[in-house]
Amino acid sequence: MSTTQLTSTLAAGAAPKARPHRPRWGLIALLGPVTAFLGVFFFMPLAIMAVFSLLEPGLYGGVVWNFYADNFGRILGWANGPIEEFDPVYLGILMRSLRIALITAALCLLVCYPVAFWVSRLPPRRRNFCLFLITLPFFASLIVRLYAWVLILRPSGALNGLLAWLGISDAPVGLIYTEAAVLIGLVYIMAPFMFLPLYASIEKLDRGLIEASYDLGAGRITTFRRVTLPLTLPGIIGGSILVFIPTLGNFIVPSLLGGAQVLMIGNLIEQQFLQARNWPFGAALAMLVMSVVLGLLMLYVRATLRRQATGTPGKEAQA
Amino acid sequence: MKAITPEAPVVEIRRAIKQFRTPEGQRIAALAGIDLSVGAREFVTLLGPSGCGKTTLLRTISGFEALDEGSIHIQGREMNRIPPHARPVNTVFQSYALFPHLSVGENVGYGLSVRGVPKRERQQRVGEALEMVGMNGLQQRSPGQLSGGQQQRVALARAIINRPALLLLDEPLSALDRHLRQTMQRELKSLQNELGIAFVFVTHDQEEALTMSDRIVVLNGGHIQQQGKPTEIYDRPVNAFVAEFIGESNRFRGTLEAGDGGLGRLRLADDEPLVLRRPAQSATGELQVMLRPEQFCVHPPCADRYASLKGRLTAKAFVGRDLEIILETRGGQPIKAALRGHDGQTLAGRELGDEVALWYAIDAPHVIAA
Repeated sequence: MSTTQLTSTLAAGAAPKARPHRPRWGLIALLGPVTAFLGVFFFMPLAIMAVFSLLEPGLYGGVVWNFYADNFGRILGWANGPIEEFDPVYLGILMRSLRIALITAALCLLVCYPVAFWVSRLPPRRRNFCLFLITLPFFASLIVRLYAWVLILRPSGALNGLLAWLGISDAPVGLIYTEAAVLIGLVYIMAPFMFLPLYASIEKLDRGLIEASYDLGAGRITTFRRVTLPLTLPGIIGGSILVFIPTLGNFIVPSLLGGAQVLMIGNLIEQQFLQARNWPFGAALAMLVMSVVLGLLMLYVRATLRRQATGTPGKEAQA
Repeated sequence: MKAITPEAPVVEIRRAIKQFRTPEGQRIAALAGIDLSVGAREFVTLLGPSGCGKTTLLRTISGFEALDEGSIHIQGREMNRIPPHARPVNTVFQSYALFPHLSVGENVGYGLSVRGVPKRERQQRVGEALEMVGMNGLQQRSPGQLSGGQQQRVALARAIINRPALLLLDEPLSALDRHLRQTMQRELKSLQNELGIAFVFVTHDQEEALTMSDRIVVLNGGHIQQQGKPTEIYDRPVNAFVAEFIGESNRFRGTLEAGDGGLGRLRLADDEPLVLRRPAQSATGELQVMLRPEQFCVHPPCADRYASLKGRLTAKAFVGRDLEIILETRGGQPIKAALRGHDGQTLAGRELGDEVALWYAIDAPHVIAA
């Protein structure tokens, strides 16, 4: 929620405006409920997590109200006590999760960009039908759709059957419980989140600008690099953020398609909360993921502000 | 057609045919066998109503549309298979198509930069091009900060910076207000003189075509209806479409009978015959004759070379320089006339419904279709 709000303000390049000094009761009435809701159900749990991450885990679950730095120490390296020890495996899982999220975003981009271009050039009726098709998966449960992938990828599954029938392989290929399987599942689930913002910015792209570029002597590749890409960059960035952040915290796909082989940070956090009953350590891991995401977003904001400061116009194409 | 320029043509289009398919599956001929050549320093205007094929013709020259049949040569080189970016032509687009993510300077320099012209030379030439359109010094602005007229100038500067052999202009003035349009018309014309290159200008505005062109090509239904100097097109339209499309006209259909002294009488269905000097080709029989509204007067300088038409005054409107009136003949044909000075003052005093006589020189009626 907060990240999408952030990106939409960024995308709009909203400048602060001078406001008249009078209470706007209408505005307060409209925003009040949502603020109260988020305050109770978003910020409070977040605050609890932040506090828990610095408390000592109780022996049988729960917390002991002592300041305790070793939750982070186990991950980042300063814990060497008798109970809690630094283990590089946690950072390893975080790095793997970042890598998988990055590759997922890149693959989604690669898959969706040409499709979004194609769809945006269709006649209106077929275009709307395609957009409907893209939102169609949302009508079925995520878990059901992932089990379908299990059926496809497992050794006796559809894909292996196809490979055997085609004579490409005679023994079942190990597809499921690999990083590749996790990537397939993630790309499959996240692609619509890449597609929609991408489509929005590609559809707005004035075809006349591409023609102008050809007309001025630029070939296809130069035109793509210097006109199409910069003008669809807001969609690329928006889609990448929408894919990258949920992917980083995803634990359903790796637990169904990755098994114990491909553990992501989401699985680790889930284990800490539900199986190990070590809430403080789970909270510390969650805080770490959040700070990584916030750090990356800050870098992006700074880059955007710098771009605006150098006077590069970022306005939308006029008709 | 007359050869207007002695120099070798910069564009030569032969038997160009282009069809489009409608969503319903019908085939529509946008170009139905066009032959056209453009001289090296010529200002040619493609004029016609929307859907006449003028924009398609322009886009086949720039390379955005491929011909189904026929050939197109630019500077003697066949261009049928050459993509737009490799053709020595540039276009000023109707919507200007300025790159919104680039500054004015970067927009103008785009053509040079994709060709790898070094930065220093580029900056100098960008300055020169902007100077030509009176926009130097605004390099750092973003296109969104410019007015319509300024964007127009930037689009022009961007199109001429590659020194094309031919500049194509696709209704570039249609989005500007009337005053600015007239200024830009003059500036375009002088820019063309300065650059010494050919302009092919697309418009549906006849006034624009008449003021700027060396030659007007009137298109309709994928065919060239007529081409020639503006005065030729205006004074001697070859068919009813051209007569109707350029300026206002009154048309009379009838049978020509020979009279004495080189005069003829056009016998009309319900009206008195129209007296005119018999055309040189001595056509007789069924034909159409055109008279422009401004060819009428109320006080003829001499009676023997003038003839008159009578009718009832049904409308009059003072539009500034002229008094525009509509006369209805006994047979019910409306006749539009634009009267000036003393003529106008005379008729301004008359009431609607009055019987009025309008005079025209007997050699003014122009035969448009035999």
